[in-house]
Amino acid sequence: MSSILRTQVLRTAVRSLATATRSQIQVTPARLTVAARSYTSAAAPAPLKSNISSTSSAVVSSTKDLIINSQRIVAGAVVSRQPLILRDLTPFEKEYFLYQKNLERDHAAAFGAEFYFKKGSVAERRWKQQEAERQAAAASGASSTSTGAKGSRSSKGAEAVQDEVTEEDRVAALEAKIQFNDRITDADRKNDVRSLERALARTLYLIVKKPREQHAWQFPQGGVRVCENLQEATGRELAEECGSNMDLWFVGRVPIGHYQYNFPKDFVAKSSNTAVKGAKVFFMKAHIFAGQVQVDNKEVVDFAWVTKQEMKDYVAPEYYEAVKDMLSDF
Amino acid sequence: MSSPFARTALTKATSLMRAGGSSAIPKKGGGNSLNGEPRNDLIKKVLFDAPPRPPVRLSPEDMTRHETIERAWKLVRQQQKQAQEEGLARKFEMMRKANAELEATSAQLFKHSQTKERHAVFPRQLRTLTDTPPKQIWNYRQPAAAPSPKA
Repeated sequence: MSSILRTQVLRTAVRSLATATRSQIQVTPARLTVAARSYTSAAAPAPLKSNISSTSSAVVSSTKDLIINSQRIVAGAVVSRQPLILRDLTPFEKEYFLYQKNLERDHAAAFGAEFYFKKGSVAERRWKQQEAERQAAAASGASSTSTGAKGSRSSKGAEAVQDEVTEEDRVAALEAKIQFNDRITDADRKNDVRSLERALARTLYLIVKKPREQHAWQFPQGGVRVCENLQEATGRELAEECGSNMDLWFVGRVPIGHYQYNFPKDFVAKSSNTAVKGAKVFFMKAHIFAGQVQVDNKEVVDFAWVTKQEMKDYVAPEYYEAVKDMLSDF
Repeated sequence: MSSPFARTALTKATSLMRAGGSSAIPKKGGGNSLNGEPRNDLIKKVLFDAPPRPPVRLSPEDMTRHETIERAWKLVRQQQKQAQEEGLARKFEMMRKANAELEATSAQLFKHSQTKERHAVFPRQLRTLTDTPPKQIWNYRQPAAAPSPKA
C-alpha cells in the first residue's frame, strides 16, 4: 500500500515539476531568439553601413554655409582604394630569398622519404625524379641559381613505362589544377585611369575634374553647413558629386590635412556673398570597398583613380605640394 | 647540465618505447609494436631516433660571401623601414597641423573631431593582401533601384 502511495506521490511530484519547468520554458523571453544571419558569401555582399556620425544637435537642418573670418569652411575627401595584392619583389629581394632557400636546403637534416611517401606510389616516384634532378643540378655546378625542373620532368615522363604513364595521368586527372589569376589586369594594359582594377599593388586616390580651366583636377570637396560636422559634410558632398554607388568607410573623425586658398578677384565680385574671400579645406580620409563613381556632370565632369606619383600630372603644382604628404608612397 | 625539459622529453620517449615495445608475450605480425602497428615503430624512429642537424660548415670565402649578403640585406631592410617611418612622420605632421588649424577655427567642429566613436570596429571588407587577385577583382555594385518616398 505504501509503495502504491509512494509511486502516486512521486508521479504527481514529477508531473508538477515537469509542468513548472515547461511553463518556464514556454515563457522564453524574446532576447533569447538569435537573429537570423546569413553566412553565405554571396557574389554581391550587402553594402557597408556608413560609419558617418551625425552631430547630436537636434536643430532643424539648414543649408547655410559655414563661414568663419570671411573664409568658407570646406570639407574635402581623400578616398583611397587600398592595395589588393602584395607588392612586387625587388630583384635583390628575389635573389636573397632564393639564396636563403638554397642554403636551407643544403644544410637541412636528412629527409625520411620512406616515411612520407607510400612505397611504389606516384608521389614517391615524382619525389625521386625531383631529387635526381636536384643532384644533377648541384653536381653541374649551379651554386645559387636553381634550374627549371619542369622541362626535364616532362622528358623523363615520356620515357616512362606504359603502366606508369597511365597511372600518372590518372593521378594527375584527379588532382585539382590550381589556376592563379594575373597580377597585371586588363585595366593596367589599357591604362584605364577610371578603373578600380588598375595597379592592384598600389594605393589609388580619387580625384575629380571640375568644368574650368585653372585647377580643374582636385580631391572632391564641398562647403560645410552650419549644423554639420566634417564627416557628415564629406559624406554628403561625395554623395552629391560622385553618386551614392560607393561603399565608403571613414577613417575616424580626425582631419588628415588642410589647405587654405583665396578666391580669384573676379570670382569674389561675381559671387553672392562678397564677404567671403577664400576657403579653408579640411581633408577627411575614407576607404572605398565596392562600387564606382558616378559623376553628376554639374559640379564634376570627370574622375580618375590615380597613385600618388601619377597625381602630379593631373593636379596643379601648388595643390600637389600641399597635399602630397597626406598620401601613401605605396 | 640537462634542462628539466630535456629530461621530461627523454622520459616520455622511453616510456612510450617501453609501453609500445616490451611485452613478454610475442605478438603476430608487427613484432614489438603498439596495437600491432609497424607504422608506429617508423613514427617513433623518425621522431626520436632521427640524427640531429649537422653543424653548418662554410669555407672562409663562403663565410665572407654569406656575411656580405646578410649585411646588404640588413641595410636594405633598414632603408625600407626608414622610408616608411619618414612617410608616417610626414602624414602625422599634416594631421597635427590640420587639427591645430581646426582648433583655432571652430571649437564645435574641433570637439566633434576629437571625440572618438565609442563602438568603432574595423570593417570586415578590409582585405588581407594576397599574391594574386581573386576572380572578381572589384565589385562594381549597381545603385539602389529607387529612392524611398520618405526621403
